[in-house]
Amino acid sequence: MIRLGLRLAVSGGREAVVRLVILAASVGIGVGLLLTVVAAVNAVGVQNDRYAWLDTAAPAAPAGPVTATSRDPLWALISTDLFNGQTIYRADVAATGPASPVPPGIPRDPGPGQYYISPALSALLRSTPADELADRYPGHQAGLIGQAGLPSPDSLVIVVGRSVAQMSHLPGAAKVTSLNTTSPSGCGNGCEIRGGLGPSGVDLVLSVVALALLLPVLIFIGTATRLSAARREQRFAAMRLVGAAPGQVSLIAAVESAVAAVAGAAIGFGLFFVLRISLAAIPFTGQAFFPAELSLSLPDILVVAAGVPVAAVVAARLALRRVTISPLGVTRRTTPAPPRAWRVLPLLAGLADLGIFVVHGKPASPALQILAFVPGFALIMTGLVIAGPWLTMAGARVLARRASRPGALIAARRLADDPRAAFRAVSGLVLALFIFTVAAALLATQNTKPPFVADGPAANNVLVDQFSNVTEVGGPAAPGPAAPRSGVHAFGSGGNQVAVGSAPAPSATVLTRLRQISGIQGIVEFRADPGLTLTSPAAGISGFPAAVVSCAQLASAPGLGRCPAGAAAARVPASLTDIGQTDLAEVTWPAAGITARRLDSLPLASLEVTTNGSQPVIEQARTVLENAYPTGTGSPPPQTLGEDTTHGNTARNAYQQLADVVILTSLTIAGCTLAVSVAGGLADRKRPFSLLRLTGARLGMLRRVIALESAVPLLAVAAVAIGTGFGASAMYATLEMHLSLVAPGAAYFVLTSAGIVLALGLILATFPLLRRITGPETARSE
Amino acid sequence: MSVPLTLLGLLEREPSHGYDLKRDYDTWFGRGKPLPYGQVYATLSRLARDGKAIAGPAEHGEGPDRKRYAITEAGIADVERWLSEPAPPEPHLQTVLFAKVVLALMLDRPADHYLDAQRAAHLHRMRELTALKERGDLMDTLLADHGLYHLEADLRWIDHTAARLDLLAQAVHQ
Amino acid sequence: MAARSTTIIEARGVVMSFGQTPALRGASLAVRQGEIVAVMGPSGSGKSTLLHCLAGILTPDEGEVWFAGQRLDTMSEAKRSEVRRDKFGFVFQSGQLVPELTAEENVALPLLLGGTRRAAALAEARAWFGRLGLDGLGRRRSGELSGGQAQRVALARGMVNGPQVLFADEPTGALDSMSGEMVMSLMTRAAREQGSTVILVTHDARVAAYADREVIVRDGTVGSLTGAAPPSGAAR
Repeated sequence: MIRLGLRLAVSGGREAVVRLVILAASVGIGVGLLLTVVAAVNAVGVQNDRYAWLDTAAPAAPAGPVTATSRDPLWALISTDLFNGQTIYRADVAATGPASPVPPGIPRDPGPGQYYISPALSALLRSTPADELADRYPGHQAGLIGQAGLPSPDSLVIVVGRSVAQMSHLPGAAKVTSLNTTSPSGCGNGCEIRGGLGPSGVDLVLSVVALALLLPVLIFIGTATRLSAARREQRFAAMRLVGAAPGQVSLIAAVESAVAAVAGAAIGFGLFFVLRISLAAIPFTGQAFFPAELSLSLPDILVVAAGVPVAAVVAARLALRRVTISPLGVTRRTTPAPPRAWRVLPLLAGLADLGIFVVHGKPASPALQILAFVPGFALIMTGLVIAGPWLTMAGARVLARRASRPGALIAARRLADDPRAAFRAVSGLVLALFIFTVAAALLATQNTKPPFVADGPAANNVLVDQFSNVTEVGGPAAPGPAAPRSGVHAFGSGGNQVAVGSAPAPSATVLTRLRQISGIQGIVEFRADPGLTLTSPAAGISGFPAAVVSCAQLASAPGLGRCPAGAAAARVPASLTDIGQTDLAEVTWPAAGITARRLDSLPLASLEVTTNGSQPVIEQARTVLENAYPTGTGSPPPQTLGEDTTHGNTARNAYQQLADVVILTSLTIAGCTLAVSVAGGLADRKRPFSLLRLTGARLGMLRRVIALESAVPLLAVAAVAIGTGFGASAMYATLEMHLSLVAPGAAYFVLTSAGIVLALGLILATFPLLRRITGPETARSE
Repeated sequence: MSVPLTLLGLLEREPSHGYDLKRDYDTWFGRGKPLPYGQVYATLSRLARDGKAIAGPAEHGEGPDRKRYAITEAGIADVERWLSEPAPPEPHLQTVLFAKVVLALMLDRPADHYLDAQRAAHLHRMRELTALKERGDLMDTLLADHGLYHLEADLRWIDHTAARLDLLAQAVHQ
Repeated sequence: MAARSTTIIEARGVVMSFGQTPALRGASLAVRQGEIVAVMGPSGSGKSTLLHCLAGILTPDEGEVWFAGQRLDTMSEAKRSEVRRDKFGFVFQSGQLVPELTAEENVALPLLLGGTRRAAALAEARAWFGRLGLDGLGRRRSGELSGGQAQRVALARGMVNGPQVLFADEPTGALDSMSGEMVMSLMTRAAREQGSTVILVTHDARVAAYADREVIVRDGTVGSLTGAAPPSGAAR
């Protein structure tokens, strides 16, 4: 029996081989995609884990007796730096003894005057002038950081060795007894997220994305399975007639499907391993993966390698149940029962699932959220596929009522006769439309969040070294220095906000070095004066903590605003990055009544350096500033307002990228599904249409029939898919993003219409073939 | 074409004069060739002599003797036997079959049964011819085929007629 | 004729409806071993349905079907498949060969399904090729055969396992008269040689003439055309 099945599958003539190839290819793509998704999830986890040590936070003040440290603690100060838009992670460390913790990836803690550096950063150092980058790091390279300490091959990480004395004077440095090993996604107390993906529902998004990719693939496989289904049914009916038992037929069909599935799985595994290296370079999370991380665990491999053939066998069994019952399954061509209205229930159930949570609120933990939402989306998507035939039937009835020409009538009757087959052809496309709608709507909604767009002349020219943080009084501490910088006190209070932190005024050496950089246009010092507040409608702030600035200095930075005429000093915001407006060129700050002497004695709230905007100049200035004011834990590095907002947008950009990948993939798969089903539809139509032609129907009318047969299911279900897409997105937006849905831009509508038109066009493109394949020789009885 | 039996059958409908019988015969079965009077009267005389029909008293009138004939029990039996027994299957049976069907309908006899019986006879003959083809030589086969095709044609006519019996009955009884 | 042979296959009072349409209303037919019976009747009369019930392909709504002393209609589908495979042969009008297999594989199919080794099954198939004048066509697929050749292949398949009953449903329906006669001649000769019973559904009188007797299916019941002995025709 098995041998017979193999024989039928493999050497059954050209048509059988073509079908096998298409089926294997579709399974291969599906398996490859599945493996990629699984591996990506693995890789994201591994990559995230490697951020752990960079998220080491200073230990909180111990409440009880200090635990005796058996290990020598490590002085550590971990900060982020910027170069040319890229983040550099910097760890300044000093070991207090031989047993001090060592960051992963390096053999031992670097001593003073040494540093360990990641390969990418090392290359960057070599290719950049020293005063732009290398001068920030004292000492010489002692070695490279190994893979264990790097999240990504492109990571820029440096571990700088210091002496214990130096470390104890660095603001924000602390002694730690161990480096953090908790991945950022599980970060609670005791770690600060500097890099990696936090526990912000990323898993939920990945689950939904996996679903959105898998379902079109399943439909693709299903469509390929149905190729020449009638022919195979007929063949099995003939075998049943001469005495094949139902079990034998099932076995043979299973073997055939298994052959295709095994071949497809092999193709899928092959594709995955061949493309793994290229895939790893795609920055799904913003950073590339090490190729080895894009890996599969043994259980993963076994489940896919075994599960795919099993699924194929089950699918084949279901497709053939008609003929396993009776050998006359095909010859007695009774019209199958029309699809019933219950088919819309799964779709409604999925929408209800989301709706319930909108009304009652979502579950607290991310894990429960996944359990709550993913089934809802899964139900909606499968519900669309299940409801499709019924919607097609409804559309066919409408068409029949309004049909006046024979072509329309024939199309309506053919649709009503077998709505399942008609819908199958466009099911992949419909699902892709749903996915596209959801992705576009959610993106548009997300993009309405105040996208901190930095505009105005100051945005990209002025380098801001911010020393103070504005926080709520008594509220939870903003992510800022756990220990206040030295010499700091709260100053400037406005309502419930207070600015905390300051730095000493720059020394003459620092000022000289700054001025030596060609391209520097001015240096502005915002001084911290306690108790000052600022209200400036033009800047959009009221009662905001204020600093003071000398008007002479302000004049050199026109992009930061102006002084009132005749004033010597003005009040300015204590923190430029927290006021929500970046175009300050037209703002006139209120005057400050403060003497120049007192002004000069105040510490700095922030230091602004105006440049000509060229990147090398900015980097040189940044280097000088960092060496003068080492970046404390939690403080941002010196950066322009533009760089600050870019950083804030990374999450959004990551999602944008993800959405693009999902849309592109599902549309591609939908296109493949459509192509396969169009080809299959051609073969199915050969005989009835050539008979119609023989009885006098004109080609033009037949083309109309095909067009209507394809358009009606597509439009009927597309409308529902798009509507459902908007509905589901609205609910998701309310639940997860706490926003109300925003309609996507014109591009969405244009692309959707173009997609539908293209799909119809693909079907129309087969028309020239119609003449040839419905020629009289096709009508000859077999 | 069995004229005596046909006339006898027409006679069974109702007693008639020879003149009426000829007219009916020409209408239904003449097919362009009217039956000569002489043949009619000769046949009727013979039938009367054989006891199948009885001649009534001569009625005087214009022209030759206008006797009214009626059918006897023996005549009815003859007609019954003729109708119910299938004709020996040969080619060119159309006229006989046709006559039998029409008469059967006129006489409200079960024409469908008669047709069935004829079918059976035809099929039996066709079986014999087929067996002949199987064991005979080429000449036998040619002759057998000829017979088979004609018998088949008859059978087709029988099928068609059987399907139209109701309509025919209406037409006949007008 | 010799002593009466036994009834090998029989339908008793079979009733079968498809949805609202009744196809058979109490059809009964007894066929003796070795007979060739033609089942005739107008189209739509239920002849094919009767054949399907007799062959165990359909289960009647009411009534009984007996084969070789056993109830066929109450057997499980698997058992019935076995009976079809080992004891029955089928020659239908069209669409009965598996297009992906070669002609000789098609003929060997019942044997292969029954577990016969491939070599032995093919040898048996080739023997039948010879008997039916199909030499050299063994490796062809069904699409490459003419109508008459395909029907002879179907006949070979029907006979390859030495069936007790051969079921033929309009076996020459799609053939021209020459091919049709050849197929009927071969079929009846092979059946008589093997002692197989043949149940032949046809509306064609010349095909029915190959049988020993005929029955008519009308209004869902089975009857014969006449009870009396037929007259002997003039010998030619």
